[in-house]
Amino acid sequence: MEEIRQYIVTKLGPENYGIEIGIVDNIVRMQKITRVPKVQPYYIGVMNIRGEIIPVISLRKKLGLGEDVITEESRILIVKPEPQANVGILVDEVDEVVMLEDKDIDYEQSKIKDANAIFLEGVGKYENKLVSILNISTILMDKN
Amino acid sequence: MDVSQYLEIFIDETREYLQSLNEQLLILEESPDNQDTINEIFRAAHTIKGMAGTMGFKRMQKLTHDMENVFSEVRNEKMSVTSELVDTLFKGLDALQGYLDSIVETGSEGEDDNQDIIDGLAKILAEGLSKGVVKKEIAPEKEAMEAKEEAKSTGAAEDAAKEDGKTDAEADNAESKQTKGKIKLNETEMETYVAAKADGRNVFNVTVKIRETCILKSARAYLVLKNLEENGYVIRTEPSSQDIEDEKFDFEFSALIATEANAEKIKKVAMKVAEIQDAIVEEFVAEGAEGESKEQEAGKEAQSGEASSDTKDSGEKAAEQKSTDASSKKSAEVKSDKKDSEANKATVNKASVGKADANQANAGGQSAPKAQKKPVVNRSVRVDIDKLDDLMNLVSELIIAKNGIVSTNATKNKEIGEINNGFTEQIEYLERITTSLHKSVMKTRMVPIESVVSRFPRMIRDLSKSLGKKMDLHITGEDTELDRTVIDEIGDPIMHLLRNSADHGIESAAERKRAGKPETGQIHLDAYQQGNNVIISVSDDGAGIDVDKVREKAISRGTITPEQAEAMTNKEIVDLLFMPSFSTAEKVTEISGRGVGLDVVRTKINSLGGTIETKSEKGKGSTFIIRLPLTLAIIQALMVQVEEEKYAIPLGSIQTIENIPVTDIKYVQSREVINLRGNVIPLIRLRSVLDLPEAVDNERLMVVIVKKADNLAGLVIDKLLGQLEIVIKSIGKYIDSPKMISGATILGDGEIALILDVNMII
Repeated sequence: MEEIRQYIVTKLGPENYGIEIGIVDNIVRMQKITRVPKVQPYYIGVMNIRGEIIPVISLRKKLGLGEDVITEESRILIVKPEPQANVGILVDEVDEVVMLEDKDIDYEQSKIKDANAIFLEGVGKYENKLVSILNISTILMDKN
Repeated sequence: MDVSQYLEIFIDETREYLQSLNEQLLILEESPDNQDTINEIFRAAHTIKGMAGTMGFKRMQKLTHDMENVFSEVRNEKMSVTSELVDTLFKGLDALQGYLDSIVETGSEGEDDNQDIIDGLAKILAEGLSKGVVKKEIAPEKEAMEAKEEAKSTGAAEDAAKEDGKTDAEADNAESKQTKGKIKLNETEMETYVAAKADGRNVFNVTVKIRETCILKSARAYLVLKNLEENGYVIRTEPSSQDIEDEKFDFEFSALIATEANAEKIKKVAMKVAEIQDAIVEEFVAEGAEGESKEQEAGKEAQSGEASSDTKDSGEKAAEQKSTDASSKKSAEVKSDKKDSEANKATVNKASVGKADANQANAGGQSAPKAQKKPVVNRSVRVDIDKLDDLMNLVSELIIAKNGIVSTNATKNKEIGEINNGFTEQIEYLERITTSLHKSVMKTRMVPIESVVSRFPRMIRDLSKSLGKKMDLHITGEDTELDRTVIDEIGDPIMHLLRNSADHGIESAAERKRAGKPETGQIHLDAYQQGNNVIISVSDDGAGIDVDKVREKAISRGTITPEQAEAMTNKEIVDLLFMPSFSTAEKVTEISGRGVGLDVVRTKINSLGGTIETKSEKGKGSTFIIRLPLTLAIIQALMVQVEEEKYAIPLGSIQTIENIPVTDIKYVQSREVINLRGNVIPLIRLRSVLDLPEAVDNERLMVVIVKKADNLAGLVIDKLLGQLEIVIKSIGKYIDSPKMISGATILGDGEIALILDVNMII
């Protein structure tokens, strides 16, 4: 089966993380984010995108990769895994869009017993680079 | 004819009529002699039957028809209202509701014939009639009708069927019948009638049916009348002779004749004319004065409107005829029944047989209910709730945009240091408009709570029976309005509370007697508006909540430890009832006690933005008070600042705002409190609640005094920003929003402010 999927490659420090393009609604620059007290620690807060209130999570914090450093390159990917449920995902940088075939993705990686492994669908290979493909719904559903 | 376009109307109206039937039936049970109620019931049942028939819902029509027969006999005073009767009728209503629900869901009425109810109705009818005053012979047309229909062949239906002239045999039969009194005689006619009676002459009402194929109706009618006049004196005709001449009648007219000849002769005379399908001759008895309005009504039902021209001034004369009251009343009924059964027949034709005259049949089925529409008609339009939601969203957007302009204007003014009066004025104008627009849209969404509570009297009645306890339900404030979305959700919680009161609250009659209370328990359901809230309270004068029992139970279930129980106030113990799976009912009944009740109630109420509290006194009863916000989407709020963050506190929960010196803070059990005009109010530092760093207190503190039920608390804030109309938005699905944040709103400058839920902070 020749299935080709497109992924947006984002960066957290040196690492590449891929998010399937289908669920990404929009990519915006850093916004004013209003803190919400007593929520999961990786939630930065909520932001206003054209009258819609969207919670924003820090991918770094979620994956245990330290504090965010906001730069000119910081971007928020607004993903919509289901209708009427938007979430913004803060990343250091959005790099490019890649096309990966099924055979380019190593699904074995997600079976490794790593704390973050459940958030990964697999590892994609392209142009001698590696990209960890994120499973957005497990990231959002996981309450820790 | 395609009736699907009427389905929605049918469903709505049937629902209303069923509700009305439920209510009226309750009244009937209380006061079995209430003629207005019986008439109302009869009308509603009849309308449902007509509509169901038109829509082709045969089972529904059949059941309603059978119920209507019972109503009819009750109305005729041939049967008394017994508890058994009412029970069966209620079952019938439930079955009709079942049909309706099935129609709503699947578009068809389902397969259930509800034969048991139909049988029950037939049995009641048979028993009731045998006990009753008038007995009727068994229907001779049995074979002609479907086997099922036999059950419902009561006297009235039988009469009607006969008059329909289904077969010649039936028509002949009718001759032997006495009666016909729908016609009201005027003074002269009455005199003639009395004179004729005195002379020993017969007075017959001759109903003549002309073949539908007949072309010169008026000519035929003229001939019939002429023949009749040769044999007696025609007192009056129906319609008037002028109308008959002008052909202003369908295929049927009637004449009242005083004659020495017998019925058979008269019939023969009338039938002599060609193209006459049938002539029914019945002995005529003038009506009395009593029950006049009823007769008039019945008459109107039966006739086509132009009929009542001569019906005035018969009152006095008629009074003399009191002795004949009973029979004349009955005769009036028979007339109306006839019309009923015509409508019925017509619709049956259409639905099942599909005869050529289906169109006409339809007209018959529809005209019957039309003529009996409720007298008061509200001028209203049914609007899809989604459309109102859209409208509401747009208004919300408008308010946000307006807030934006307001805040831009404010900053600009500061920058340029001068005030642009014209612009500011226009903004204020805009503000006023958006506010009233919002109010209007809100109002269109408001529905009186009546639509929810009106089903409860019936429920309490049933509970009273099944629990074997005596209780009355008193409802006040049915006209209190709530947002449509709330109305849809609030029914179940109220029902739970009422069931609770009935099951746990009210004691058995014996127990109540022992406690020195009246045997009948009282349950009150009150709704009223209080500020920006609507209060719904359910109270009973039953046993009250046994705090010790709750405490014991909580300990035995491990909900709390004995030590905890010791420290808890009675109020806190009572609050345990709202914990999941907590029921103190010693035996689980089907009514309540499954341990889901109060927990579910509270969850539901909270999800509607409301609160519930309990007051109870052992032995005296308990009260549950539900407090709901008037509106859900847009509220007035006080904007406050803590550190650099902005928060909105709904105005509804704010009592006062105080500026107090730090030195006023006292400590009770190492908690900060202030003594405000005699009230000791605990202070809550919003900074610590909101995980913000502590700050050094200024000399004075800004404290917002908020209220949750009877409890007050002071929220310490940094700065007041003023009042604002805010649009409540959710902060998203995946975020685990803390209980104390009930949502967020977008401010004029695009910034987000979180809305604090005071109830969760206290």
